[in-house]
Amino acid sequence: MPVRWGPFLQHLVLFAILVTCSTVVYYGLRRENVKEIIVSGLCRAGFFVVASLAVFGGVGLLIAQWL
Amino acid sequence: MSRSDPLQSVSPGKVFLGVLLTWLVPGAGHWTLGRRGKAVLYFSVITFVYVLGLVLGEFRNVNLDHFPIHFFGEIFYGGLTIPVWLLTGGLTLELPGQGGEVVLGFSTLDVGVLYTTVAGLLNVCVMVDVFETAYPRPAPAEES
Repeated sequence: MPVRWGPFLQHLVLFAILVTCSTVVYYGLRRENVKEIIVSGLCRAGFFVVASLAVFGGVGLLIAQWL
Repeated sequence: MSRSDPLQSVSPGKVFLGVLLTWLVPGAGHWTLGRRGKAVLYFSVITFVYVLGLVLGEFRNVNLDHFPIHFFGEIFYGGLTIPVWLLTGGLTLELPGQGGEVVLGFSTLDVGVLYTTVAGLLNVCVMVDVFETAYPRPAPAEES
């Protein structure tokens, strides 16, 4: 079954946006420096997006091929 | 710890008011406590997530009948959820499909519900942070 790239990319971008926003807000808790919150939050968000896509995407791909 | 110095005399009533204002508008509590930068940041990010969720859900995702559990998360952003619920609660989820048939929901409805729910739950964290800002504990890096 061919991959429908449009919806796939759409959900990928939406996932990245949600993880980024959540990470920035959560990282800002109990911290005061706004610039640090944004910069460090974005760095952490990038890591979380890549790591979660690698884990869930990779495992999902393996399961899809296995099934 | 310098950040606690100007807030030593914050009254419990002002903190309660800050939490209540945050429930209505994310960041409003921080604004009243003088943390203007964090207030703008929280308001921008959480409102962006919430409004994007509304757009993705075509303004049909704040619905107590169809999404009661998600509504429990959304209600923590009361300043938007209550008006949106009152204004859009009557919209139907049954939309005409591509072939003319009636389908329940659409492709981005689930994502929209997720976005608005996460925005509401993030606002819970911000409400707790108002309390933490008024009565601070040691910062995470200083605890160890």
